Amino acid sequence: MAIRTNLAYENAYPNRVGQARPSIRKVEKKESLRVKPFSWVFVVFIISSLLALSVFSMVRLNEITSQISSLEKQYKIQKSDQIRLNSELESKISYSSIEDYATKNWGMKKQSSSQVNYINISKGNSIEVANEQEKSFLDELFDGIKHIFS
Amino acid sequence: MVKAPSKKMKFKLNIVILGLLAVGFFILIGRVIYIACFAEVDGIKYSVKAYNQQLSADTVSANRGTIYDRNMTPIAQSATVWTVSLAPNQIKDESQLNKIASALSEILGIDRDKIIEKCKSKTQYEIVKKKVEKPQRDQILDFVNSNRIAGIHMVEDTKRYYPMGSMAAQTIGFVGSDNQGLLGVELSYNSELSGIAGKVTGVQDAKGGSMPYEYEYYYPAQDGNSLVMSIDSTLQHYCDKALEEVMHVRRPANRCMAIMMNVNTGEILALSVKPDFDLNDPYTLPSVAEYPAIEGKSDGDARTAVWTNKAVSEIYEPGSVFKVVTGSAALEEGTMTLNNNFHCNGSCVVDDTTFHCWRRSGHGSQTFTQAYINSCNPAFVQIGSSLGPELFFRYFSMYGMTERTQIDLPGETDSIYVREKDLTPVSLASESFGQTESITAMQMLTAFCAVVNGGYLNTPHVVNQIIDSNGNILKTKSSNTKRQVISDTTSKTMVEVLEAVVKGIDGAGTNASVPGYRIVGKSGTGQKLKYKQQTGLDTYVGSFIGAIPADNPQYALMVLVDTPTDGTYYGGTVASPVFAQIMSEAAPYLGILPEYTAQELSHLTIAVPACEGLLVEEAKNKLAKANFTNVEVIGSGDTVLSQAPKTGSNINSSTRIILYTDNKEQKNVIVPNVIGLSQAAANLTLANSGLSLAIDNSGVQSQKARATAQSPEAGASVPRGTAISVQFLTNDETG
Repeated sequence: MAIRTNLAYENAYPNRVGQARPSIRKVEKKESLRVKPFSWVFVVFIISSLLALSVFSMVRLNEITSQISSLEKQYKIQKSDQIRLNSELESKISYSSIEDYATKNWGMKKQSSSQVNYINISKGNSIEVANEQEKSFLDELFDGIKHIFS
Repeated sequence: MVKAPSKKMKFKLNIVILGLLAVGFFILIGRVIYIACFAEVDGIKYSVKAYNQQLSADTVSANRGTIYDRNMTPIAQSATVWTVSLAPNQIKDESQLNKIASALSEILGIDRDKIIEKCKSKTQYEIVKKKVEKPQRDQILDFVNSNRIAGIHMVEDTKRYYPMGSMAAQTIGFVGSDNQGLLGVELSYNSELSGIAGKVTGVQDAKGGSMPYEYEYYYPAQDGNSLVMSIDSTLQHYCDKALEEVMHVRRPANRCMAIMMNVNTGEILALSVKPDFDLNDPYTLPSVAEYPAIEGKSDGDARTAVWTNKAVSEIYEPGSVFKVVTGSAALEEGTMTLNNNFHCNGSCVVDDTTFHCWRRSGHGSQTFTQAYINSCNPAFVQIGSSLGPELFFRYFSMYGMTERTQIDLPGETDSIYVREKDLTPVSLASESFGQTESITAMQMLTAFCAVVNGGYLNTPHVVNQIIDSNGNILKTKSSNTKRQVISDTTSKTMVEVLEAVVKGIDGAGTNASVPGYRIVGKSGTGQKLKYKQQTGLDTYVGSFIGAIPADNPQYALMVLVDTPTDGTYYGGTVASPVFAQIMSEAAPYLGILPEYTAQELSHLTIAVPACEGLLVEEAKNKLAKANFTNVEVIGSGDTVLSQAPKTGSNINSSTRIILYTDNKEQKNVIVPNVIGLSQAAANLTLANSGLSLAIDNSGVQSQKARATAQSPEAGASVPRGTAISVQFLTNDETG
């Protein structure tokens, strides 16, 4: 009778003839990977530091941006004040104010044409011509050869 | 026995529950999607309402560009100011209200009761004052911080400053409350000056705080470009000063103006219109006493009368100045030459219409050049008719009289003239000497420059460059020549003729002469015919246009006095002396040095040096060095105690100078009246009184010149030997 064998039912047929008992092979237990506590702390420390630095840089960036904004605002206000003060200054030192003050307060008068003397300091036009030095025969021969090959 | 539910039953139950949950879930999801994407409230989708609530957008205002003069002196500049406002709902109690009112009233100079009224208002926002500057703003901030006040707010705004005040007011213009140009260059270059506003968009949380990093987008503002004008503030000042004197002396009923232009490039170096206004307060107009024409006018009409740029927005009858167009056209076409002769008996008749010369007795026989010097109307009727209507109108058009000059200023108006097909002999005759047609001053000046610069008609402009906020040049306005109207030869001939005009018929100079300078020019007296038709009154516009130096004209100056009311009206009398006054100061500034002829040198006045306190011999030597040889010593002392004329008086070198060494000998004399006398007669009259003559304008040596003003006035008691300053002018159409 054919028997369908199945190892699960091996015990149902204990007296099988000729079948050798399987050998038992010991497999050495692998040592589990032991993570040292110090490493965990180090990793956590690194991650925390990075996070803290990131937050710190964002905070710092925010602070500096705020400072820049504040300084820009101050600069703008000071520049406006400068324009306002320059405008006041220009009105006080305008030509008409100066003339008015000089004539009324100091009794000054505008200069007359006789008080102005014009001096001509120009040397006139001139032309400079370079004096050519007389060349020797050898110089002329050399120049000629240079000219041929140029 | 009850059986426990089988696995199958459990499975089916799970499916049902899951199915119900799924149905409920999908219903909710569908509802959410519908609300988020499709549902509307009051026509607005919820998604849009959410954006509006969460997104914030602030405008970053662009700075308006600066306007500089040609030497990079700022003449219009924007700066930040503040609008002070109140939030009445944030004011705690009565005592705080009173505190705020007192403080703001003192700082801002506003009535305390008005502030209290605003504080008691039921609104959330009340403006107290706009355009508050930094000092007041700082005071308000100190008050707010020290008293912990919550109800005062300050919002940034912009104010335009004009440091030069009223300088070139109508040309520069001003901005409105929203920083948009309303007049002048501020208007015509508004798009360049305005810039483009920026934006900061971001997300705000439920409390309104911003969430910067992830969602904020910044679009920077693009500041407006700046302008570098062709106006020179020094030359502008010379023109302003001279015109202020004209307003005082001639009292023109319809303003006066002066324009200085570079003959070859069309650059406007100065453009002065009086009366004017302060650009920092443009709505405050001159008083009726200063400008009677605005009396009785509404506010709007009065502003128009003052704000309008007379050089481009008003037309006038040019009068004899226009003869430069007629004469140059005739020379160019060969219908006239310098050898032509004309006869003037005081009038001429054209088609039953009589045209009178300004000199009713006539000029007699005169050459082409003499016709110009005499400004003879009948001669120019002849010259105009020699051209004929077609040729005349052609040159009238080529000189730009039928089109706008296209100057970069707003409000340029069109001229009025007779069209070619309507030109009759009568209208041709009157247009030939500058009546009938009405043109702008800018058109006339541009045409004059074309006559003297070789024939080239240029486009005038008041802005030279456009630069960005960093000073980089974006655009340069180079000279734009429209066309050549006359040849170089004709132009040179006209220059010679016009130089003779300024020298006068006797070569002794006219009212426009400036010693040491060769000047070309022509005066004009335009009768305001339309005004006469309306009112029956004779009124005139006196003008003079000249250019310097005659051998190579570079700068032209036009002076126009509209309707003088002091009894004078000839252009040669009201405008030519103003030209001479401005040019005498402007020419050295422009680098044009005087070259005196022997005749001019002999008439040149010299400032008397100081001799008081010196020994008599020292004083005499000092005077001799200054070319004063006519010295009289009165008294027996060794030291000069006083002198006459006084130090600094401008007198001729031949004038006697008295040195007093003894105070007892000083006597006073009464100044005689020399008004209306010639130079020789005035000199004699003053000498007989023991006084000296100091000619105010030594360029005018014509026999026709008469004294028109003296200082000190007649009747004043002055020390013997005092120099009396007298101005001599010719009072006619010439010069």
